[in-house]
Amino acid sequence: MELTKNITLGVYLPGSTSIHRLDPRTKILAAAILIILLLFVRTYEPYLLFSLFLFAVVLLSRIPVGYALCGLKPMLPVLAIMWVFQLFLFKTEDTAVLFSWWIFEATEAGLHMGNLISLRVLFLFTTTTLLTLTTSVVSLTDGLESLLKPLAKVGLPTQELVMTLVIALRFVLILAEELEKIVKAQMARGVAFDRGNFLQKTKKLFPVFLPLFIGAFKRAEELIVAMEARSYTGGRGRTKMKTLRFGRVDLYSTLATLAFSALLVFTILRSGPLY
Amino acid sequence: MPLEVIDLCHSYKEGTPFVHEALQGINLYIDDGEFVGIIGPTRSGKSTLAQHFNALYIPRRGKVLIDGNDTKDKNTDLVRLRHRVGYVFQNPDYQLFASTVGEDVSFGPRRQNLPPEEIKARVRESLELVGLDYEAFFKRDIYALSGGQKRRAAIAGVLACKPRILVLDDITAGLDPAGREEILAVIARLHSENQITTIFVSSSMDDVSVLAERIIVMHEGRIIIDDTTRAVFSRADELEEIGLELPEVTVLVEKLRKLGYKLPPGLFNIEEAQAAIAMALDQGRAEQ
Repeated sequence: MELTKNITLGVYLPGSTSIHRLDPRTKILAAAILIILLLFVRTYEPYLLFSLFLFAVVLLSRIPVGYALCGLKPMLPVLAIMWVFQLFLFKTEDTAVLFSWWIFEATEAGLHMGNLISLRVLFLFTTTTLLTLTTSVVSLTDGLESLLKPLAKVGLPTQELVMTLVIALRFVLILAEELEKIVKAQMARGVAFDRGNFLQKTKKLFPVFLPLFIGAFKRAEELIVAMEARSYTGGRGRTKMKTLRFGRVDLYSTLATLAFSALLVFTILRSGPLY
Repeated sequence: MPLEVIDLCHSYKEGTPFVHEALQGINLYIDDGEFVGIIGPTRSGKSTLAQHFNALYIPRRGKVLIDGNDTKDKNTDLVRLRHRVGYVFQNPDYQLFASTVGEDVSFGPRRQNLPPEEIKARVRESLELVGLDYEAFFKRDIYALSGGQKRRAAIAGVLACKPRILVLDDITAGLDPAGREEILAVIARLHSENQITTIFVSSSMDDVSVLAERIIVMHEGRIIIDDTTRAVFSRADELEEIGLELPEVTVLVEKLRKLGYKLPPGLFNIEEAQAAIAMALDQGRAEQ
């Protein structure tokens, strides 16, 4: 019974590689550009290119490949459901019907759409995970704040927004830990989570979520007290211990990312949408 | 219902860069009706080991046999096994998941599909066993309980499943002295009156020494001492070396021994220590 094992989103894997040491702004911007480009990918070729790029990042940051990928495991059931929906429900006028079942028809267009959407989610997830695996919470906060500074001029509480975002990211792991404890406590008194069919298993989860939410509220309250005890009053007047520095390695990395993005755009345009 | 552990190993986050080898080759045999204390500093693997006893963790390497049933075996009825090996968690907040005391204590019996009268009888019995009045506490909100009451309610919830082995994971942590006394008294009574095999996991030597007949000392995922309580406390230096705090009485006796007083090693009981010190003083006067 170990739920936190496969959670990689929001986890920081300490290291001192060049990727780890990059200015967080470089990494955030690169991830943002890549994620935006992902939304325009409508064929398979760009994904191949994309995986090569991500693989290079994984190698450079010395993250074990297996670990970088294991975070995808808990997402597979969701992806499978999405894939099935696309397979049966997405249609174009001139597509071939692969097979039909009752009132549903699986079409070739649906098959491709299912594949492409699943790939998109997988790549979105992996890109974000790589960012959080190589960037500590503190530098992530600093980077985001610095990038959002122009918005602060228009009166947006950027510092608070970033703090909220970062805390939310950290809570992914915390909630998983809490969930594990509650599940264990119920298992110890005779709930068999590992037994029954899918519906029965899902039904057993309901009595778990109430204590989980109560626990989350409690945690949040403790966090508030802890922050206030250290005189946190929001963003105004806060200064930084570490100043961010955009160095030469950052320049090269940004150029590399931009070059790759150009290549990606070219491939996307050349191959044209599949559907 | 004897409990046997053979060559048990366990690692957390296996296959990730955060891998931690919590248990490294544990061998253990606990017989019917024993009262065993498991002590060790934090992260020594005590809780991990204890959670193998009721199959919350299934061994990947090694074996855990409860009454001869292998927890790894697909044919073992784990739900039944978890009812027979009751586990009280360190933090009652995770254990008490219902909204009222009655609802929570009856959770286990309800999972067993018992008739309502039987469930009611069991709830009443378990609440009385831990010293909570049925009428007063049945409808009480969990959040209206004090720390000590919460722990007692948590124990009642486990007792309602009628366990033969009771595993208590550091249940005196964070309690005030009065609450601690109450809980320890409840546990001592359960053991002596109902002959439940009791496994008391704790980081407090004071609590373990009062109750346990046998103590298992863990350090970095291994059992380093497994002996009677007296024998364990006579190895004070080893215990201090791994960062365990000895009972206050033992510390005093050890200091006196180092000053040259003739006292037996391994004293942990206040009355015994008092007698031994008085005797040593008399002897000293007689020699003069």
